[in-house]
Amino acid sequence: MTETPEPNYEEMITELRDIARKLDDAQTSVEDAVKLHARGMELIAKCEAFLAKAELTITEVHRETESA
Amino acid sequence: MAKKAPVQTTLSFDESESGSASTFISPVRDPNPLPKKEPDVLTVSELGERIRDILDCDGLTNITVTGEVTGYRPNASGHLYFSLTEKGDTDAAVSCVMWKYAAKNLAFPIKDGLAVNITGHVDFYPPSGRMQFIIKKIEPAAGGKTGLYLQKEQWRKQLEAEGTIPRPESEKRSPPLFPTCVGVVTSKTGSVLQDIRNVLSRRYPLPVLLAPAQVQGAGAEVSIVSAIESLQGKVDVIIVARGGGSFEDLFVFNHPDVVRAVRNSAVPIISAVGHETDVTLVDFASDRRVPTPSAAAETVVPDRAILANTLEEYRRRIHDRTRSIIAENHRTVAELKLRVDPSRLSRRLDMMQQQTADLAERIRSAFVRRIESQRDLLSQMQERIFKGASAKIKTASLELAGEKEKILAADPKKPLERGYALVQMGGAVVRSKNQLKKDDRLTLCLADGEVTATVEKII
Repeated sequence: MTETPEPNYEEMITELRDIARKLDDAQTSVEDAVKLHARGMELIAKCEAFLAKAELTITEVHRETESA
Repeated sequence: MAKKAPVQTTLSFDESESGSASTFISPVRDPNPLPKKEPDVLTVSELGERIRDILDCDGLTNITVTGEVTGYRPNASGHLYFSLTEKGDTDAAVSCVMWKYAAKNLAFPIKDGLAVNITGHVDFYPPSGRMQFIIKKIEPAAGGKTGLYLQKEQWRKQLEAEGTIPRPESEKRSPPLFPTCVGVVTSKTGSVLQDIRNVLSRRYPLPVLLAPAQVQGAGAEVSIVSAIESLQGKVDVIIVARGGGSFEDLFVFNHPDVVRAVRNSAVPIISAVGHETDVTLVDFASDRRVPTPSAAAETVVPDRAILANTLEEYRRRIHDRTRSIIAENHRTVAELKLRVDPSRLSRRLDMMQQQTADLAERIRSAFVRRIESQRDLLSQMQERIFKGASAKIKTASLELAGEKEKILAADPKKPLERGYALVQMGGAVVRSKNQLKKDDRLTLCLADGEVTATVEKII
């Protein structure tokens, strides 16, 4: 099984917004609602993990002009 | 030291009045007549007059002097006062005044420390015994701060003419809401990087790519341009920052090469140079200008505390909605269950049966009524036909009897029984003697048979 690339934070938030919107839609079936709920919880957990793990690193950009 | 009060009297002094300077001297001389003087001994006012005469020479009129402005004090009346000084091995200073009429056309603001060239003449003011330079014209001296100010204005015009600044509102890009990497162009040392680091650590820690640059002094523009270029394609947003400093310290951020590099950056740039009040030309080329480096860091990333709240909000909303959808579906299922209940179905069938029977009965009775009514109609018609036919037959019988009577009465043989004979010749009835001639043979029909006769005589 190939692993799909992990979405970035913005993509996850966009998807969460979409899930919330779909759940508000009266046309959404109960099967879809359950699936959307599971996906929503998964995304929220990932986002929270991202925020918790976020780390500041400062790297100096390597410049050709300097290395030359 | 010059006293304040006499200086105030110079407010009414004007160059045009220099020829009648004695009017200023007389109030000093008249109320306090000096004792009779010796020949060659001058009164102070005479000395003053003599100095003024000497100063009024080519070497001291319409001359230009260079120096630095110190002790600048504009007067509420519009006249400007300062000292022009020279620093170095030979310190020197001269008091200067620029009258209101000359000062009103100044092209730039005068500040202490400005290097200027002043043009005018030297004058002596007897009431205070002061010599001062009367300025007609003042210009920035090359290399001085005013020179830099003019240089900035020149660059501004040039950059505006080529369309580099100002960046139109429509071309101001918003950095991504959740950047993955932030680029910073600033000095490797100094508090700016630390300020940015502090804000990012608190709000939204993420990888920072630092492109160190020399932010002032000769060659700084090359360093900054190179730093901006080195970050292209590697970061989501660039902060070009420098801490507070003097106009000269921040001057490189007006350099056209730097301004163009900011304007042409493919990555959105936030400029944070100096403090709130400092505006450099890069601020007009960047996608956004913020007052300080810390503000820049706050601008480029969201606050994770707020993000965590948002996630909690999503969690609640998704839970609530899903629960509500499931509850709705429970209700629907219960309702459907009730609707498909067997007793309910048999009741429904009974009702349908009843309805069918009712309908059949309605159809049957309607049919019967229809047949009966047709039958009635038929018998009525039969009756009418019968009556009509009987009448007709009766009339016809009567007519027939009449006709029979007539026919019977018209029988040609009937008169024969009473003795008449029917005369015929050649089968035709003879009605006149004129039809006959002698010897014609006639047939006579009698009641009981025929006889033949011959005409003997026509009478």
